[in-house]
Amino acid sequence: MHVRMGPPRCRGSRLINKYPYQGRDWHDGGVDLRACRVLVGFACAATLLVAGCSRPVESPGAVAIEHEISPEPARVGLATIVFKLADAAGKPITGAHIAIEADMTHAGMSPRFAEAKEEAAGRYNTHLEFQMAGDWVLLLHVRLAGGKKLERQIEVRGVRPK
Amino acid sequence: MNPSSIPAPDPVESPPFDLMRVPGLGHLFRWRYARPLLQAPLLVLSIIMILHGLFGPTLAPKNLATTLSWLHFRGVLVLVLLCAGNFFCLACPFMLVRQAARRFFKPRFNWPRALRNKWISVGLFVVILFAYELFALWSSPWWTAWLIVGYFLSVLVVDGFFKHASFCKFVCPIGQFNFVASTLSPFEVKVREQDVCTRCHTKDCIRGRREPVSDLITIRGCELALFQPSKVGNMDCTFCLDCVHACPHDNIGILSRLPASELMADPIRSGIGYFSRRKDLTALVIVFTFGALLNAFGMVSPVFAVENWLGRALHVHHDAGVLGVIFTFSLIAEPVLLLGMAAWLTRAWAGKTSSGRPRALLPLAVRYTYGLVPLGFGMWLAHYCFHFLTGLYTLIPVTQDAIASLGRPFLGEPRWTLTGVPSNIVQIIEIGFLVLGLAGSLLVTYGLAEDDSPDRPLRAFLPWAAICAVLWCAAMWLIFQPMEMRATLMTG
Repeated sequence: MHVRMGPPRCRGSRLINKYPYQGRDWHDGGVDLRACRVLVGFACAATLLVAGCSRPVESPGAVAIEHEISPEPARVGLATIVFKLADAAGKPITGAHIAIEADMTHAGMSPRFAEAKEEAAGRYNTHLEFQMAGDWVLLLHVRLAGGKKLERQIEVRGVRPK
Repeated sequence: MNPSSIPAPDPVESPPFDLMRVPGLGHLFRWRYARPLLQAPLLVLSIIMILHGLFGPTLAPKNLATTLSWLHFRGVLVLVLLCAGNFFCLACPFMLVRQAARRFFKPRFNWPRALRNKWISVGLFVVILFAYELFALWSSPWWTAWLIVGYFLSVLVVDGFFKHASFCKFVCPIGQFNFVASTLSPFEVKVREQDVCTRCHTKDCIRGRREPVSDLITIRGCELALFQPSKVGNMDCTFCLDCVHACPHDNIGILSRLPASELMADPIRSGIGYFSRRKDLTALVIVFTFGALLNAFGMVSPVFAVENWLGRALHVHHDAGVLGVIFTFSLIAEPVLLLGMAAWLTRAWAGKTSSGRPRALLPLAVRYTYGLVPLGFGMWLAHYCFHFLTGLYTLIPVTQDAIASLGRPFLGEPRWTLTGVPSNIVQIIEIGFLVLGLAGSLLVTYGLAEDDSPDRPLRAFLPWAAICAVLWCAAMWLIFQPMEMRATLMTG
């Protein structure tokens, strides 16, 4: 492959065409085997990283959590959220403690925290303020009556402006 | 270089302030390893961001990759460009890796002549803006981490094959952003006394300092082909200080100057040529200016109404299609219409050139488009500083959380209630940036009009002032819109 040597040129720049780039350049040289090995090794490591960095998907547990948000669709301001907890047989789970953390999907926003109170068997209620329109994520930290802990992530997309 | 072509210094001008003369700072910059010293912390930070992005929390507000990239880096970058100069390129961590790689893999080729322009980087700039909206990069630590990794790989590939700073000059979209924005910076790497350069025969600032016998370069000259005596302004200058280290006469400083003054004149510039003949640079300025508005538009509530309407009207059911229409309108149709109209009006009102020749539309548009740079930068400042300032302290709990996740919470439990400056205060600052941008654009445009049409400068100026006013109104409207940070576009 023939490649013209010399400085970069651009139309209208006669000064550049003249600038002295003669002599040996410290970047002159060729491809060495060591460099190739390093690059191949880097490519392999990157491939492994891509394969290994996929997020683990949480397997559905024995606890089913349903939620309802009002108003629907959610709007900026105070929202009421109801969580319904049930076991694998569909029986309501009572006596659980649910802590909620609401985050926006953009960095720079402080999360909102709340706790849900049980208002009926397996039915937990909380109020949460959406400060800004956009996508929100609710992180539920649930502690069951027996002490078992579990976490769930609920996406609340497209919270509308007031 | 013909010594007689070097302009003589103006004896009336008072000497500019020189950062290289500041005790301590000057010593640091003159030190040969100043650049690696500044790059090393940013490289460490980049590695932390990559690791946290890949292995840390999946939520953007809790991850260092997204918090540092989309809040703090962008905010600090534009503020440093506004208050000092292109110092990010000086401390660029990608170049440290490149330099290390070049010890093993020495490039053989010169960058192809046909590609020695900004078209590739303009395209990449648009691609990044598009991908940012389409894939909601700001909400994904994982993709943000891979974006940084991709950047490192691109640098290694491009500068692994091609000599000099090919990546910086012809590829890097961040670099192009910095180059355009730094035309408004108050400092410039510049020769102190032209007479010294006139007497200089070695031209080490461009050739590099060489060993007398072997001619091997011991200190390299400018890798971006900027010959200091005829360098004008900050365009294409990475502030790498190679010229400072190579100059045997200690005749290069970091000198103060009037921001944006380089946009008002059109001399031949080393490594660039004439601004007025560079359509690729004009395209870069268009993407820089109109892209600033577009990028902010993507974060306000009305965008979703527009996208849904477009989707229904055009029967397009995919985000990429609707975004493509919006990008085509904002970065091609709108600029062509506005700038074309202004150029046509200038030609009609200002008459022929001082040399009596009729004006052509395209050169007129190319020449005056540079006047939009301050307005575009004002919008970038307003947008990035909004995120930076309103989320200023969020770095603290995110760092606390990252350290706590390692099992050693020596910074304490994360204080998630820390956020930043209240948004009503930030909005005043945003308005200030936009007013500054408008004032800058009007001044530059009037300067261009005076230069272009000395007998009728006002007539030449008015159409471009109108364009500036329209864009400024659009920018003001944008910052008063409610924010709506959504990754989904058409679904709901």
